[in-house]
Amino acid sequence: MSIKIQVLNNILEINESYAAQNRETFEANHCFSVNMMSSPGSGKTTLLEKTLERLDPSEVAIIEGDMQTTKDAERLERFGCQIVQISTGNACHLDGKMIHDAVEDLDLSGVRLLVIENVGNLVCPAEFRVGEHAKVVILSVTEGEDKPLKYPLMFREAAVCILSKIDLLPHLDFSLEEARRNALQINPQLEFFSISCRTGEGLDEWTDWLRKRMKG
Amino acid sequence: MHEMGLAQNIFDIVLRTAERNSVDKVLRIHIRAGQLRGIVPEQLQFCFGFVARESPVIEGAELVIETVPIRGKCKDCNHEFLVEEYRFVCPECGHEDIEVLEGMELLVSNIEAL
Ligand SMILES: Nc1nc2c(ncn2[C@@H]2O[C@H](COP(=O)(O)OP(=O)(O)O)[C@@H](O)[C@H]2O)c(=O)[nH]1
Ligand SMILES: [Mg+2]
Ligand SMILES: [Zn+2]
Repeated sequence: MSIKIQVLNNILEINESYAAQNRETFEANHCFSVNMMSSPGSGKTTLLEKTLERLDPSEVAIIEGDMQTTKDAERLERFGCQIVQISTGNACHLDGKMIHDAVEDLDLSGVRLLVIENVGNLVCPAEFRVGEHAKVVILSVTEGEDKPLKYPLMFREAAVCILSKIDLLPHLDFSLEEARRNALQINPQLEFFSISCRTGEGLDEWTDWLRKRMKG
Repeated sequence: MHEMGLAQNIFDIVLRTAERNSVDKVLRIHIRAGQLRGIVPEQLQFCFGFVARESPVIEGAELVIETVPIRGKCKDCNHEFLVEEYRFVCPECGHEDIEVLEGMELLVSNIEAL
């Protein structure tokens, strides 16, 4: 005769506890933390470069987890801010423990903003909270407007959605309106920024959003 | 392939439970996976089959995955409803601030063992 044993154990329990610890560390240092996620090539690193041009790099720290190119951390080094590169191997996401270990290599005193560039992928990174204050999802206009409906968890969990590469809109039949509508269906609280890192459009609004949260 | 990490976590939970209850053989493991989690059952089962080889007590156990539909509760009128096609809008009052009651969980609910 087989027996049935109640378990009711959260499969993500360990990750959640690392995430909670990370959050405490960020709070203790008055550091606002964002987790940037997108498909590969949507413009995460480029946006980070443009963001660093507009902020005081000594107040910013970066955790670089995107393995699409090994050049990402090098592209950011010239700003002189603290950067930790996580070598995820071929992992598909960053998790709470990886961020916990990376944070140990950072001196967060005086850092007002921690940006985590996650692995380029819209599925796995959404599953793992790392203790971030805000998840930022980037959708470039070269992708489909229906992506929010295909990756609901990512768009549901995000606080901000950046529609990137809008300089390319004249060459495409991408509808910003439809992309927004699809994302809002999943997450009516989502805030949007439409940005081009080529023309600079939208970058001031985005960095103002960050600055407001870096005061704390 | 985050399913591999999840499979490892499931294995750890099941092993702990099996040891605590001194079971000889785990036959079936019931997982509740919220629809929003987007778990691909076949992938998780495949990964688990691989990980389970670490323990003769768990090896060969069947992973039964129940996908839990999304249940929402309107924060305005308190109406509870099934969220279909990820439409987070209250069917009663049109309000869009919806609390997710079910559909985000990911847990080992119980195991069947000898
Ligand atoms: N036209 C255009 N191209 C961009 C923009 N932002 C990034 N790119 C290009 O998109 C490619 C991928 O960008 P990258 O920042 O590496 O993406 P990541 O993989 O998300 O970090 C690069 O060739 C960038 O030059 C933009 O605003 N407009
Ligand atoms: Mg990158
Ligand atoms: Zn309502």
